[in-house]
Amino acid sequence: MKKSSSWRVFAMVALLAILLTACGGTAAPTAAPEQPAAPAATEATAATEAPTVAEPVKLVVMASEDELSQDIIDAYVAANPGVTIERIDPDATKLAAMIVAGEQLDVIAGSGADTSAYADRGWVLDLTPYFAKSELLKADDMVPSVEYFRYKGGWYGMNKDWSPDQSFFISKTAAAEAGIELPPAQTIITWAQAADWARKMTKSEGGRVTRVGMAYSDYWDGTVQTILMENGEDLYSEDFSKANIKDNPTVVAFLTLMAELAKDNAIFNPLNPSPEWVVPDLLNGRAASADNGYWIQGGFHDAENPVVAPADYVMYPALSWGGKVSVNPALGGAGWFISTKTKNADAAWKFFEYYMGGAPALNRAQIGWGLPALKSLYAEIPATEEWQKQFIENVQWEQANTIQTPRRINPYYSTGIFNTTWQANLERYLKGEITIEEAIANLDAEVNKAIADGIAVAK
Amino acid sequence: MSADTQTILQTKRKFLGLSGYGWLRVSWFYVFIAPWFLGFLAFTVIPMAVGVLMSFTNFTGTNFDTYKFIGLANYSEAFGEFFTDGLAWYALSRTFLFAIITIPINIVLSLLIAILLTRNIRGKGFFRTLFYIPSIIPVVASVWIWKALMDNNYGVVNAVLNEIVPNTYIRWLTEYPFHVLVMWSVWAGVGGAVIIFMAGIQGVPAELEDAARIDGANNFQMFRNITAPLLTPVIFYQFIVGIIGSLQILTQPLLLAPRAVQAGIATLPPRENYMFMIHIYQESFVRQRYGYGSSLLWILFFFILILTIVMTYTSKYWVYYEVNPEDK
Repeated sequence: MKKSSSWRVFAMVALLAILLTACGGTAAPTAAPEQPAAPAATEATAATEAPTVAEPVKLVVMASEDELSQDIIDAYVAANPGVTIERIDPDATKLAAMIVAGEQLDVIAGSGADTSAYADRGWVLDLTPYFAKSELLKADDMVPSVEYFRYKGGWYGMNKDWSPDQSFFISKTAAAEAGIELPPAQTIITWAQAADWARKMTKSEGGRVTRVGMAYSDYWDGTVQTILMENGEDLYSEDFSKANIKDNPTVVAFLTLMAELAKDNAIFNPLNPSPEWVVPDLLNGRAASADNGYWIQGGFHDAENPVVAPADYVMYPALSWGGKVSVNPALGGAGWFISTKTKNADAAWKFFEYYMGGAPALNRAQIGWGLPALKSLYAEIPATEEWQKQFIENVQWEQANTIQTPRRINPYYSTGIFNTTWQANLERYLKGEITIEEAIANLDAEVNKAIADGIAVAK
Repeated sequence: MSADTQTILQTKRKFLGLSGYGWLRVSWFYVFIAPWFLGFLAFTVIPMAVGVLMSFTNFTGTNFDTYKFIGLANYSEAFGEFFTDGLAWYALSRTFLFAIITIPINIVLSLLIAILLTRNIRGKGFFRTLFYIPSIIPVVASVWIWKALMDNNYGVVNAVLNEIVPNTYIRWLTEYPFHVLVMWSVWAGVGGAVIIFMAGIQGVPAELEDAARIDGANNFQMFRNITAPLLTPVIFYQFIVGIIGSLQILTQPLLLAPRAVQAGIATLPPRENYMFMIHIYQESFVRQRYGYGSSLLWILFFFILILTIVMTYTSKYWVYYEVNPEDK
């Protein structure tokens, strides 16, 4: 064979080799990456033993690694020979593509806010028959936020944990420094009162703010909805086609109050934002109070060498607008659904049941980043420190004495639009470019435009 | 291949101007470019085509089964915003302002530094490295470093200023975000341009400078009449690259946003840094209007294309080539 022919053959072989490796089949599932500090799947008490499944079954679960660690998967697979679980990272577009393409997808991690959209599109199974038969997941053992997963008479999923998301935390030391006499625990405090305290507890040094009086949660849409719920009002019309912002005096008054607090740097704001998030803000003394959920208990518990000790904080019910009643539901619900594209609904349900009521649920309750979705697991909530006990007492008082009804989720737009639009207009207001009336009017226009766009797409 | 075989193939009837032997040779060309070409098709052409099609629909990213063709409605809405002072127009104007400011500064500054570094100065190598380092630091890392330096309350810059003028805390990231972005862009972009300009300066024929020196020209006259004209192709290249890069800026303003723990859909930079690509990002991923976002992207593409064509057309008036590019 001549030299020119032989190098051509060699080049062709090399080229084919490259093409074949590049065009290899779908990537094999990767080995589990390094795990974060996920709870070890310990053996749990009665009714948490993973059930066995007879035939070989593969389940595809769309959930983050934080939520579904390899430990949990390994424990379930070990107890259920023949079952394999493939975890894929959550992605809204990938989810839609998989459903439309008919690819196997058994369990979907999502938010209760997605229930209406998923159910309307036929993406998720109605699990009512399964819940009815379940010995582990009983309706009367569940917290109110499970309602986020019910829609038009169907029951499509369940939250994995929950938290009253707007409880009020305040530093006893900061309050004492400002001459504030804190009321007894479980007292309903008004927004006006909290705003006054926030101004008093704000500290500045030279040209910078060293401590804001309140680290507001930025749950703008959630706060607006819950203060309206005090009087039985709603941000949205009955059919969700309109948001009433600029014409509702309560909403205008609340947004104006918060804008004035921002102007006084009593809360973090677009011109003086928090460098981190609420837990380090509180523990490092950058904020004296906050309206956040019980879940910050997990952050308090894990903190190392805090400047302000968790024990310095006292938890109150959510702030009230009118002063008579407090509304403090979970503002959303992180949980699971079962997809209509499941290849084995019974097997998917068994894994769902295990995760929601078995060893993983027990471990989540023991860690305390959220409250258990099952009341029967409340005994597992961490309560070794006095401040932890106070937090739990407050939660239990709120469950008995405040409105815990989940808010209405508008299926036509993402509430992120409400929050980002308000932040953008608040920034312009703080810089003096627009008035507060214009800022609120802009927010009203943008939100309603987004809703109209969503309705047009849904038709 | 034997001479007889070659002759036979060459004398065979030709197809499309090529004989069998010609086709054999051409086929090897296509075989060797096939991997790149297939990748180009799969990862550039097809996505662009999908993007064009998407721009005529109301696709939201998840409504695979219900999206529909809406004609030019997205483009109409976008141009409507341009003519009614909407957010799209604001974002585009901020982007053009960013380009108008940073491109000339980058070119002038990098040219001056390149001229200095081509002189015979002590520590030339050290300074070349120093100016080039910002170009090789990954963008995310360098932006975050700047963000830490310029932080309103805890930044190093304010700490130093506070030592000089007590109680001075400038809110760089919230009240002067555009200034910070421009400064970062110049700091990060100058190094690469310096290297290119240095190569251009070193390419100026020494005999021209010697002749000018003999004729009594000073340094400025030599630069103005010899070096600068011969550098115009490099300057032209820097303009084109600068236009393409600066009009597409996205990551840096997102990362400089004061509250950004990571650049994601919840990140909204200060209004002064609300660039066109950020507006597209918000429309696509926050408002879930992929179709509209796609139309905005194509509008940006045509803006850049038109600017590039205009620059290329006008280059014949001010760009001088040693060899006339029209000569073949």
